[in-house]
Amino acid sequence: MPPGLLYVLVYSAEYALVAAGFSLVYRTGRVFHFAHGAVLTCGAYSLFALHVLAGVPLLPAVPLALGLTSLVGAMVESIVYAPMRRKGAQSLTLLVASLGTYVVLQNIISLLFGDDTKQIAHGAAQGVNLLGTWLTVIHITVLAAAALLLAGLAVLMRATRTGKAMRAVANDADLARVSGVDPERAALWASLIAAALAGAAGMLLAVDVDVTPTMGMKPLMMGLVAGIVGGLGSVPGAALGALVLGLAQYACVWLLGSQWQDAGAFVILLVFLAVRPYGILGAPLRRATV
Amino acid sequence: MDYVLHLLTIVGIYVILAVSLNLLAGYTGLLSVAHAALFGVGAYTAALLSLHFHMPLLLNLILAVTACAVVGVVVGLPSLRVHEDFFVVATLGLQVLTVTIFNNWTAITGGPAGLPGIPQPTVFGLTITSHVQFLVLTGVFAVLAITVVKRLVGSPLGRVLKAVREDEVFAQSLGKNVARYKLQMFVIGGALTALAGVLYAHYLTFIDPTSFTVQESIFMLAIVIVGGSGSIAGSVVGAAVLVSLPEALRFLGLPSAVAANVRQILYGALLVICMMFRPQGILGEFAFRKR
Amino acid sequence: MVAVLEISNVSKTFDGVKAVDGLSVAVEEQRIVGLIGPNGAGKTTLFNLVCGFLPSDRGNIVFRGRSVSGMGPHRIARLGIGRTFQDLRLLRKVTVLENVMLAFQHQAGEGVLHALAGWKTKREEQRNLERARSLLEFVGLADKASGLAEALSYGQQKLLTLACCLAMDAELLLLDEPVAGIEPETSRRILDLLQELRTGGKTIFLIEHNLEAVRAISDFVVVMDEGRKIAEGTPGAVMQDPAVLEAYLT
Repeated sequence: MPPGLLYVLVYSAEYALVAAGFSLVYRTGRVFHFAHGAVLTCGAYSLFALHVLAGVPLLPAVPLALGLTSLVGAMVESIVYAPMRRKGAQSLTLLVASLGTYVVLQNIISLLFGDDTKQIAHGAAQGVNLLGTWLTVIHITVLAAAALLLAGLAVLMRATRTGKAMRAVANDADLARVSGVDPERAALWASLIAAALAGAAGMLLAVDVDVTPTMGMKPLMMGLVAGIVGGLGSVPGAALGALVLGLAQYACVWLLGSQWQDAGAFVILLVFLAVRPYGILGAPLRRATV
Repeated sequence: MDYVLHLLTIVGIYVILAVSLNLLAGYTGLLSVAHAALFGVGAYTAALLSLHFHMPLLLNLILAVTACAVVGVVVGLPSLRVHEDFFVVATLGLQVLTVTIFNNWTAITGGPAGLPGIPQPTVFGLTITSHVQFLVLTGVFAVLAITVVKRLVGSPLGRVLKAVREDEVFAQSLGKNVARYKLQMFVIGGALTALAGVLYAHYLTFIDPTSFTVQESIFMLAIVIVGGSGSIAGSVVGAAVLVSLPEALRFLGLPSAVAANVRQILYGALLVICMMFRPQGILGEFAFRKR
Repeated sequence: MVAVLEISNVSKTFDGVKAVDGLSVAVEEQRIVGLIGPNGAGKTTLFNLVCGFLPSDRGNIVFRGRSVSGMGPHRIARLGIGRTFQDLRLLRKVTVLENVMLAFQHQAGEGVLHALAGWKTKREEQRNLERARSLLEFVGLADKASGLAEALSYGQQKLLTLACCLAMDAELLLLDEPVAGIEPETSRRILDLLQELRTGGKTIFLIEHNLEAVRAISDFVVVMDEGRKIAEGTPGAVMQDPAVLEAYLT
């Protein structure tokens, strides 16, 4: 096993969480939700505030932080996106609003907590040696959490009424409305769940690396690339895209050195946008009538 | 007094950035969040040429313009193949990548520590040192940028740009080579940001990656949109207002770190509010819509 | 009679569905050719293929002896093919005059250098302004020239798109539902204009659901159903063809 290859799984797990949440809002909410990056940061800081500042033990702190983050996601949806959608805003308009929202959220966090780097201390230096790679407890937590959450999401989307409603709206909002599904509620659910996923990703990242107000931008980018590569709109797509991205970055680091790993991600993004923008598992959108 | 001159100079630099981004996003409908990256390319080019080769301003400018024009084309190429939302993603990727290069290519760019001690510019033997001289230079460049954009958008070419923005298919059906126009605008837009970059590097005599982040790109977009996408006067007014905002906040007694965050919250919120209620901005005529 | 447009055995498949299936049509010069058929027959797709908005999977399209298969839409437009769209494409927030001025070909002012320097531009603009006004007079929109295109009625907007095609100096006009959804008076005006254009040397290929209109002005009619040509001939003959009647009824 080449050194560090298993770490790829860890990164991919985080990207996949971000990608899954993002694509949920994109397909069901029809918004290019850049603010997703700030929601992720909210997750990290919620955990920090609860666990480090307020001393709440991890076990209640994590679900509380998830709840807080979901709230933030739902607020963005109901305060910003929903009214605009009701007025018939175009996708580009929503996207720009999302950019503004990202800036607002990120700076609120800066104001509340300061720009300095924080850390969420953990006594987890222990780990296991798996196939020649040293995986810490954190790494294993990330993998396990991501696997569980993504599997849970897949089940939710397939088997529950809410999930089916969200998929219906993603496919065709008008048709869904006629069948008795409320697209606005579906979009709200999508943003809640996506925020929870982003929050989880944020918390996992926070425990693994540092916490800063701008920490969300990179994972958002990577999640975007993963989503586009795998196909925005399915959980397997998010997972597959994340894996492909992780492997490609690993190849880049191995061949060219670690400072080129972002370049690798960008090249993959461009290639897919040019050749197959709907991703590996995605279906080509019906060609709009000219 | 010096302080007012300083503020005016910064406003002037942002006017150039806003006007060039307006050409791309407001008039041609090419929404890019990589503008700060272009700005950085211009600034770093000027800084490095100055530090290592001590070149006069005009030569610096020509090379910076070339560098920015080339990078501008790289930013623009995806727009020929992908739809708007995904094009923004591509520009975001390029923006993040460029800043990463600024931060990591320490041997050339100085990494996070940046490039200090950039020499002052010389124009035909005259060294620009005082605030007044810098303001004049900035003013000249700003007027140049405004003139270029005004002429372009007021001409038959401007008509084609509107068509590219509103309905690409219609434009093509009338024989307009949409791809070529897009790339040309990226070259020109890029070249204009070089003006701002060169000024910035020489004026501050120190640059580092933090001036060219994605938040800066969004700030420039906010100026364009709040001032009115599709309105040059709007870009000028918008730049003046949004750049001066933190100064107004400081007079209200807010500490400087807080002021920076509040400023960003304000422009972020302005951007959201504009999109919600008046997508065409304050002075602009065209809503941010596309077919 | 010379064929201005020759479509030979063209096919296009989307998602496994054959939108156009081995179609061959020849449009002769100075003729009005109608293209009819039930919804979803592939008529607009055929137009998109001819104009280069879609690449064909198979077959060849020749305009004035020159193969245009695989050319980009702007190049095909410049060769002399004008097009109107089913969903009425034009610039709404811009004046009627500016829409027409946009359509003129070979404008020096559209080049970056000339736009910046402004040399030939002023005189050219003046000339084009006059041409645009006379074109608008020809279609009957002279009094609306300075207003925004969105202020026009639906029928007037269709006249505007026709004026744009004329401004292009296109010799072949591909019109997608030129009189659909318009009140009879404007409809009549458009049909008269089309006939005048034919007399003036233009060739017109049009898609229409209004069979009366088709019968009134077409020299030749082609019928499509499910991507295939099922009949062609004079309007009278075609509209009595049992295969055609069946296609419309099912």
